[in-house]
Amino acid sequence: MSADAAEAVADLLDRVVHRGAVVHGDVIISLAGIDLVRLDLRLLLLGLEEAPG
Amino acid sequence: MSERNWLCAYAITRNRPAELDLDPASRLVGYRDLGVVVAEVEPARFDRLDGLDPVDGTLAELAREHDAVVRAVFRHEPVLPLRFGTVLDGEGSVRRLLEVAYDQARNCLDEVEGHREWGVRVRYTEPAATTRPDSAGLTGTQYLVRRRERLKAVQQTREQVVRTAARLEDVLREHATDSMERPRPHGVLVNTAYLVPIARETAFHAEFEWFARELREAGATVETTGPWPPYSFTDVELGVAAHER
Repeated sequence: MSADAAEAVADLLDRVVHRGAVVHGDVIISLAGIDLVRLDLRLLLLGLEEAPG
Repeated sequence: MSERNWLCAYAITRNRPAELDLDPASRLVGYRDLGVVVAEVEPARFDRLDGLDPVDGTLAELAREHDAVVRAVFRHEPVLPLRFGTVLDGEGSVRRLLEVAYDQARNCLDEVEGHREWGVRVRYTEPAATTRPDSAGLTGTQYLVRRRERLKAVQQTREQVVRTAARLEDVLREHATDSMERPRPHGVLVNTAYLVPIARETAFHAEFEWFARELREAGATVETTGPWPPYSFTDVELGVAAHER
C-alpha cells in the first residue's frame, strides 16, 4: 500500500472510529474487540503519520 | 427472547424517510422529527476485527461500509454521525435513545446542517541542511561564510513557511463555523478540520489555493481532503441514563 493510500485510510479510520457521537447506557451493546481496536488504532495512526511520504 | 435483533446505528438525521435514498439493507427508525439510520448486523462480523492490521484488514473494510452509509444519508439530509461500532438492542432501544437524547441530538444536528467538513494538511520538511557548498577554490573563511549563508537561507524559508501556514489557518477559520486541530506529528505544520457552510466553500477553497501556491513554492506539501460528513464536529455523548447502573 502506498503512503498516500495508507494516509487516506488513516484519515477515514480516525474520523469513523474515533469521532462521531458516542452512545452510553443500557441500550448499547458492547462488542468485544471494539475498544481494543480503538486503542490499537490510536497507536497505529501515530506511527503512520510519522512515516515518511 | 430467542433471537436477538441487533442493529448497527450509523447516524442521526431528520425523520424524513422519503428524502433518503437508502440501500435496501438500511432503514430509518424515527421518533418525532428525528431518525436513526440502522441496519441489521451480524455481531460475528465484528469478532474478526484485527487490531494488528487495521489499515488493510477487516476494520478498514467495515469503516468504509460505515462511511458509505453515512454519506448516502448525508447526500440528502444533515447527519450526526454515530461512532463506529454503535450497536443497539432492537428498535425499542433506538427509539428510547432518541427520546432521551432528543434535545441534545437535535441541537447538534441543527449546528452542522448546511455544512461539510474539509481537512487541510501542510507538511514541510527542511531540505537537508547538511548539503555542503562546493569548497573548490574557496579559502577556509569563504567556505564557512558560504555555509553559514546556506543554513540561514534554510532557516528563513522555514520561518516563511510557518508564518504563511499560520496565516492560512487564520484566514480559513474566518470562512468556517468551527475548526478542530488534529494530531500533528513531526513534519506536519497544519492538520486541521474545518466545518464549512456550503455557501462559503468556494471562498474557502479560493483562499486555500492562494496560500497553497505560496507554500508550495517554498517547498511545502499542501492538501485538502473532503468533503466529509461532519465527523470531527459531532463529538457529543448521548446518554440513556434512565436505566444506567
